[in-house]
Amino acid sequence: MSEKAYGEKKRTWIQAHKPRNMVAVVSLIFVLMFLTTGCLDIERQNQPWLEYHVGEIWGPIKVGQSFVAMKNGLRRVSVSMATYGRRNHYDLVFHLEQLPGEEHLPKELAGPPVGEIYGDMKVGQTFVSYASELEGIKLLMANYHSRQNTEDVIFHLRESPGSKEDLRTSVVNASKILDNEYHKFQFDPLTDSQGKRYYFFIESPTSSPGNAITVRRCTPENTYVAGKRFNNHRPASGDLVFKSIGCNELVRVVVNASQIKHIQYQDFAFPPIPDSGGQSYYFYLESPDSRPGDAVTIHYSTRHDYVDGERYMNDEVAPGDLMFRTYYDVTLGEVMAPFVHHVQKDKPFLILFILAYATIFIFLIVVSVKILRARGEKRL
Amino acid sequence: MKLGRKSVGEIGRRISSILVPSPYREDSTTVLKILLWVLIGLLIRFLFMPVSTNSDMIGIYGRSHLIAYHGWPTLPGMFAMGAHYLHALFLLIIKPFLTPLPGFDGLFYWHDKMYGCDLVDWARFITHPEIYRILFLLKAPYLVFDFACAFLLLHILSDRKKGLLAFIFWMVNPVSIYVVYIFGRYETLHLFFIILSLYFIKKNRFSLALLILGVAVTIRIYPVMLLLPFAIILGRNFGKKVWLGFLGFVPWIISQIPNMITKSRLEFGIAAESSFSGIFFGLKWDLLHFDALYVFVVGYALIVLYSYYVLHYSFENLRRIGLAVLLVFFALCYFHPQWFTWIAPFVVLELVENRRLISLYAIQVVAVGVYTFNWGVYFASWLFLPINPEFFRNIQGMTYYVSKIYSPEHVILTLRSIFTAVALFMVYLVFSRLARQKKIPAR
Repeated sequence: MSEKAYGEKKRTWIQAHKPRNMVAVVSLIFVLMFLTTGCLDIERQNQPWLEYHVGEIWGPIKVGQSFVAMKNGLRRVSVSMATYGRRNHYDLVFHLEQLPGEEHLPKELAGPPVGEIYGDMKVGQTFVSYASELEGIKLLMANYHSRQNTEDVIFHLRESPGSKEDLRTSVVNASKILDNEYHKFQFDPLTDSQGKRYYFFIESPTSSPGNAITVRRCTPENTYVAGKRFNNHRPASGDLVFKSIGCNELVRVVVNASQIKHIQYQDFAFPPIPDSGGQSYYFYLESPDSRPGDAVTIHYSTRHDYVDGERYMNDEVAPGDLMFRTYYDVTLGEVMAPFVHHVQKDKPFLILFILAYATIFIFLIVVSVKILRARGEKRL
Repeated sequence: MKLGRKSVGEIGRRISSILVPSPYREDSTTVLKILLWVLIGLLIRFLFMPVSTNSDMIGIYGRSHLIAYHGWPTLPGMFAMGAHYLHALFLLIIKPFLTPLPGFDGLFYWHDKMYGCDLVDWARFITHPEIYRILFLLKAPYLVFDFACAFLLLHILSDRKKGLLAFIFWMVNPVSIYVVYIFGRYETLHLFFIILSLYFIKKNRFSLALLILGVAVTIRIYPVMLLLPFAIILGRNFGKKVWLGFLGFVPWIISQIPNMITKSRLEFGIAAESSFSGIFFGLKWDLLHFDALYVFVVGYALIVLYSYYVLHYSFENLRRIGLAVLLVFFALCYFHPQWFTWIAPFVVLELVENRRLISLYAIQVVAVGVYTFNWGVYFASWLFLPINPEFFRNIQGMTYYVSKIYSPEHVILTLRSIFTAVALFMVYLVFSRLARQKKIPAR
């Protein structure tokens, strides 16, 4: 057969079988569409109800949420956001930390003050840092109903009550300390601090009675089990009300606000965290360069309590929870494992089904071979 | 008595002679090709039968089990009783395979929830230890009717090439596979009766054909749209048309006898007030003041009038009118995606004559696929909950991905509009073919 005739025959065959092939191709596409719908990753919808928004996120405002990762392979967090129906211009920064940036004792535990801190008096506390980079301590202090206190208060951070050497120090004037509010003693980050025990204390050598501040103790006593209160480097009952602040940042994603769509979930994707299952995380968003009128917001809901986490506004716990979703990498094995386990509960059906399917498949091959042979004979 | 090779071959030949008509048996390669596509069709269907379903499927089986296992004569307040009686029969047949299962008694029974099951019952059902066997058994009757439809098409189409194409289409039609074996709807039941009706029409047994079409009406209400044009085309005179139309309602009347005996509300009243009847009146053009038009009714009336005043009887004309009616319905009325299978018998008979329809049908399939996005995960990942409830429950719907590019609403409605355009263009093609027929003087 000449090449031209062969080509002509081939074209005729393709034309004749085109409809059948098209039907098969369309069928395959259709079935594949449904099979692959959403197979890329598994989503956890944590807050399905749309209720409120937190207000514009600009400047120093930070909005966060703690959560527990359901599975290994955490790779994306989506947050329901809004743009006020306008085009916003500044960058929004997403931070993900492994644990809440603060281990906190809430203000509600505040009990009586320890007394005026002046002269040789030293009031301290041991604690365990959960942050990988400890960078501050917030201490619930009081100034005796906003009286004028004028002397310096010195903060010391050491490895233990017996240590003589300071790891970090910080000095603040007592006039800057507010009554019954946390005061933040910030210092250069201590690297590799996660899981380590530390001791801090404050003193105000130049203060005097009537011109001194104090700190509050916890009620009930011994609320904080990982450490204890110290008075002049000697153990005392109870604990102070404090928060350790650290940076345990795993992920930082920057998205320009112009890319955020109104009343839609915005994705913040990052490389999968392999051992995320069961771990506590905290994410927060900020937009330091934004200003009012050119900022986005986030939705939150108070209708259904997300029991595994809390919402934060500027590092303080706030009511409700953000509207967010978490996404995880899942392998085909992880998806199919429950199926394999379940199907083995009905072994008779499983065996029969496999036998039937294999039989049909074998018959299919046999029939295909017969058809090919018949075609070959026909050509001859 | 042992079955030797010759006996097995003899049995195979006998089955083949019943299922496959003689024009196809004359060529052994054709028989092999039919067998090939039967096997391909089985492989595809078996893949999905045990692992996917929608709560609608256990809804109808749940209602029917009251008839099969608890002796209820009817289901007060329900329509399409033919479907329920058939499912009751299926449950009686597969009962020996279900009764040994643990928790069998509670498998279908929901306290005071006859019409469907809630999420709790649904979750309990899909986590049953033998769920895969149960799903396979519940869908097995649909499989039988599905293949019966395919073989009936061979009996309708005497041309080997056309018959083989129709058979292949039926085996791999993605809409049927999705609706029946993934979604778990019983569409193949009434499709079988509709194709059987067409078969008897081709054999010129019109009365039997309309009776059988009436059986399809008791399973699904929509074939009532076909009754009127069929009766008009098949009846030689006015009296015969009326008689054929009446025959189409006889099965429905018979199915209402239990309702009459138990003094339950007749199905017609229920159907008339159901949301389905409102679908015909969804597209309404307001004229002025109180005046308006129901567009589907206009289209349907035009088809009926064309059938009465222009057409003469031929099988080709009749099936084309049936196709036109359904195309107009899908073009102008709201529909659930699973209803799109209704068009399959008429489309396949037309596309073997006019291959242009294949690409048009493909466009419609894609458009309907996108149309299902309106129902989100209920028509997609939730169908596969029996495989891994935790995983498939949390998968996001396609609208999420679409929203990354464009408004999902715009995309879905655009495809829906294209679907309507294609459907109306197909109606035009159908009427073009009808117009080429030799015309007889107006009645």
